[in-house]
Amino acid sequence: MILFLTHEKDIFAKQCYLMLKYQYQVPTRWLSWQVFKKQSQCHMLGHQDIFNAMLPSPQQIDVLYINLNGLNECNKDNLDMKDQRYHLHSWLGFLMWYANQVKYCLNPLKHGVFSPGVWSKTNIRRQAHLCGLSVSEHRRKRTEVICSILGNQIITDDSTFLRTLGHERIKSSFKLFNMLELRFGQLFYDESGALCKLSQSIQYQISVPVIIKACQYMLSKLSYYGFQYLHVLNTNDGWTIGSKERPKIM
Amino acid sequence: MILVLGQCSDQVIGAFMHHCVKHSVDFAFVDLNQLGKSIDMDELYWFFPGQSPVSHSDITGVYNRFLDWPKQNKYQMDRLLSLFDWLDHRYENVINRPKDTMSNLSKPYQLDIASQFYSWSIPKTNIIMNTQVKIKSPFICKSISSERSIVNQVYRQEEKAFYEPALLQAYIPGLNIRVHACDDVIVAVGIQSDAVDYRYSRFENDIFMYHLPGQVEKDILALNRTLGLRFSGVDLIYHNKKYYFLEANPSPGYAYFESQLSRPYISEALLSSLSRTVH
Repeated sequence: MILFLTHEKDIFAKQCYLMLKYQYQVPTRWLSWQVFKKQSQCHMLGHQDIFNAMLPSPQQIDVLYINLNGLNECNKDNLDMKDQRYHLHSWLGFLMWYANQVKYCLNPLKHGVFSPGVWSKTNIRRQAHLCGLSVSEHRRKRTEVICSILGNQIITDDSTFLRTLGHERIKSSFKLFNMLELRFGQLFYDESGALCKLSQSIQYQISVPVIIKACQYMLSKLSYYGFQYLHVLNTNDGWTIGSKERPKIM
Repeated sequence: MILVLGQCSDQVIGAFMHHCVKHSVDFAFVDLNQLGKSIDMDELYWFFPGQSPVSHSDITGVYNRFLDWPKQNKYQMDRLLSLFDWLDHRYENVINRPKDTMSNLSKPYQLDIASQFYSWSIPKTNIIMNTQVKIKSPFICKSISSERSIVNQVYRQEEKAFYEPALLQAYIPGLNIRVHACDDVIVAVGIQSDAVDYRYSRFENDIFMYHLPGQVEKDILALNRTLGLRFSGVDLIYHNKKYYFLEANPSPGYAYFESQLSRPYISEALLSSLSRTVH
């Protein structure tokens, strides 16, 4: 089962969800934060059961797509700062546990990612340098080429740009994602191939190839008792067991 | 020089600085409410009112007691983010780095990690939300996150409504034990209290030095390593000859316990760790 937990306007996630559900026909669910936060749930630590819930238990989820943007927006009204913080932390506390129970999470929610120091511009630049990427020095307006990273694939609308970027910098880009424990996201480069910024979600240039690759990536993480699900066959002009493998009985 | 980060009203900071003064240890206190106002920093130095700038390279250790975000404008926010960067990535000797303290944001996440160790048990714990439950055996209810909640009520036979996620955990009567672990030093105290939550007891608690079995000590040190913590306050309960793990606090308020002991064991361990050169 693939579960999407995100905000209503996450177009990338919505498109992936629809393609997985209707084209690839795999068990898939989408829950916006607004709906998710109203679900009745009761989990027992160390047990797989989940009582009186409309949701699958974390152990039944093969892939969890989680985007925390918007989590705080559907809070109860009229809360003071202290209550707001407590409310948000309660949900983060639950999600951090939940995300670490599932087999595969995009992007992982390990405790280190909650420190503001990890996502500071200074740290991203430093890590990028360490990985061998050059970092753009321009602070304002410049032409940016957006590349989506999906697992071990890099995709961009500008097909010639990957040649500009070159093998080494592509390798460095993956290395940067690994260092930050990201599996999905986008990198923004200037025309020379220097890194401008990094995003932990996919928000721009959500093209058909990006959605297809993302779906294939998620499908590759589905497992059914020892085999891997790839896709639904659209034709019936083949054989599971070919005629040569079906000897005639004399 | 040791850098101490926190807020003026924090008694733990007070106890640690008092210990530094007593031992003539050079330290600088950064009141986080003043960062970006009377105290500032850049890429090379700290600036304190009426004092010469302190170079980052002169700082041997940082004691981080960042507990709450102070009110801030954009400039102060920038300074705080820059400080986080120094704490997480640039200073060599920090107790504790912010990124390592975040496991406490989720108690069940921490309990899952702690359940990998065999010298203690984990109390039966449920996470419940948007549900009304009828409790049939003694349970306590507490916050699921690092937000503090007073846990003085034991639910036995009543109904309880859960809205935001919270923990419903089996009530374990017994002796509370607080274990402070700083690098490889362990200081354990027993707390005999009349209250379920000894922090909110109406009467004075009895606090005494407690001798832990070697394997529990080893597991606490190993847990700290797994969580990335160099200093923690681990809460255990001893009941029916078994230890139960409750949580590991990455910013323990140790001053309360230490004030009852014959020596400032925990301040000594902290000071020793912060004065040490880390490679």
